[in-house]
Amino acid sequence: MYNKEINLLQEKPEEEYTTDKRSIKTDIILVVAFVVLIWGVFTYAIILSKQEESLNQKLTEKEQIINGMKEKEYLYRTAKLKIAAVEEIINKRADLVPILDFVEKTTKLIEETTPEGIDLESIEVPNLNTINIMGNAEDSSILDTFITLLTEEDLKFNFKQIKILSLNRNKDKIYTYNLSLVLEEPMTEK
Amino acid sequence: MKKQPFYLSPVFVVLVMAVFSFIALKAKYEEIMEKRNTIEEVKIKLTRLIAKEELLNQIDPITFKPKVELSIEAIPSEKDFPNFMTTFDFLAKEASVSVIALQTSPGKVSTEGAELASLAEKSQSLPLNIVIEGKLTNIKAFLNKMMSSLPLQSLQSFTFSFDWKNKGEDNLAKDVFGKVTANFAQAFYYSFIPKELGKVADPISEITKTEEDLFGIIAGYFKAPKGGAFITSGKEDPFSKL
Repeated sequence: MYNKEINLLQEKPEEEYTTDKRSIKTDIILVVAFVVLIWGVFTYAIILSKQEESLNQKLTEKEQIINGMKEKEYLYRTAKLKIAAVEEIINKRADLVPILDFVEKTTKLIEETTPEGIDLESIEVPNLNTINIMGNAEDSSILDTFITLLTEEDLKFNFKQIKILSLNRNKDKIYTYNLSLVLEEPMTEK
Repeated sequence: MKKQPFYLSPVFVVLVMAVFSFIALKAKYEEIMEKRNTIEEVKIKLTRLIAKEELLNQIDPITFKPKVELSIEAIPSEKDFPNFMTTFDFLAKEASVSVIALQTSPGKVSTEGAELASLAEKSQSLPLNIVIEGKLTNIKAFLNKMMSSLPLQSLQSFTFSFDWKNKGEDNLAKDVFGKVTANFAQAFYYSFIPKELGKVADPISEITKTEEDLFGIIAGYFKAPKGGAFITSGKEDPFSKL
């Protein structure tokens, strides 16, 4: 029987023998690779654990430092909260300079340009986009002149629209007018 | 028949290893992924804390406190009605205008009611309707002063009424524009300060350059001298202090 096996080995062609050797080598490489892979994974997990531990320690330290600065944080937060509100209010609130200029110039216009035929009862700013002017005029042509003067005067505002909201003639034949000037941009500070 | 020797074929080995890897390494892989996520979170937290620490380290409480006080003067933390009234009264006297009427709807007088309705809301307003009378120049001076005084206030709407018919008849109407009655809807502001700081890791929004400049602007604003002692209204019994 042994002789038979020896014969079998002896009978094996050279090519087949080389292939077998190569298969064993590949198997060994794969097994080693597998072992390395497992070792690598476990080592990586250990490294991550250590990194996590170190980061957590740093985090705790920083938290303690920041906890020690509570008074500063409170001051800072308060100032931030308030100043952000201040900014919002200042940006949204009405810019009084052009409005007051407008009031002054309009009253002067009435006083100096058309003193007899027209008067001004009130100037109303119901919102930051509109100016309403109310008063009395002797006839509609004087009102036309007044509107023309309003548009020609440098009033620091660009009007998108000038509307005659109402024009009523009373029993004394006087026209009561109500003009609405719609601005192109709201009269805010910013 | 020729007997084949038993060698693991590479494909078979790969398959076996894949199965083994899956079983043996699955748990470890999950652990690694979890750790990586935790590390990422901790890193983000740490970055925030470092930034927060740097920011807080820059603050010198001695130089910063006046800014805080100034900002509280601009927008009080409660409905400081007596202060608003004192300011208003002082400005009216300074500008020589007469107060004809004053109306407000303060809602809940208690400070507890001063909590903001939403986070987007930075402050709340206390409405005030005022009617004043005077020369146009004085009213202008009053308004200009009002807009550059603390606590911060704004005009919501207004009406100027001109008394042309009686022009020149009384002292007030000697002005070029006659006697003017101004009716304002204005607002004072207040904002509630949270009593707690929140979590340590909560970031602080930095004070921007524009906001920093605003401190300079409002520092130049007029502050009315504090009036007499007022009884604070609210939950406490105001009479207990008398």
